Amino acid sequence: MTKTVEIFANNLSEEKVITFKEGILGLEDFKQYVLLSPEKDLPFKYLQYTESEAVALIVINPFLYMPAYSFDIDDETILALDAKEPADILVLAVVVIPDDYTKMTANFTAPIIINTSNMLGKQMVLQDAKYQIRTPIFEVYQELISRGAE
Amino acid sequence: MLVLTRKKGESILIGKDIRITILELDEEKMRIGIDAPRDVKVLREELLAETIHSNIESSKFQKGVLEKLSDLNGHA
Repeated sequence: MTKTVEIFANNLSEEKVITFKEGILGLEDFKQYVLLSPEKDLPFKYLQYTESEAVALIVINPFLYMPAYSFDIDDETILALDAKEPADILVLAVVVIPDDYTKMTANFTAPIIINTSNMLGKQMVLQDAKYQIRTPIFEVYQELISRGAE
Repeated sequence: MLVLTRKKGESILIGKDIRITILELDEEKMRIGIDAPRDVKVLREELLAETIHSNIESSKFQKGVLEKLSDLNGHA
């Protein structure tokens, strides 16, 4: 049994389902996900599609990896998520881990925004070019695991 | 596609509240100013394409890589 399948089976029922009404960019047909943690204490999570264990994105808390990360959530996203309280908002960045994992990158230009009060999610593409779609994160990842951060 | 010729400093109006102005021109590129309501999404097209590409790549991650990463954690 693969790692993801184990995670899928162990945690799925306990977790709240996040609905992306428009899907995630490039994965428009896949609308419902749960946010799962790996078994070991690693500084990333999985955004696991509820209907197939084969579809999961690796995501991180972008503020953990880039403390100065900051952007304004656009009106379209606020409206789509019916977001009212800033404290309800969870922000994730999508990670790509190639075979050579030292070349892992995170997309700081298109954060995933989740309203935890109604569990609606949307991926938002930032208009300015402040951040890169493929920001290298391996060095920070190593620092985080050596510090034992969650 | 509608094709128009504009000089530096000239604008195009789209509907009632979108104005696109040519600010600077050189041989390779131009700077464009866009006035639009906040609810109109203005995107660099390649950002959307690259995000789609990286999302799909992320969703196809190799389980073996994660095991290697877990080992790295164990040895840290």
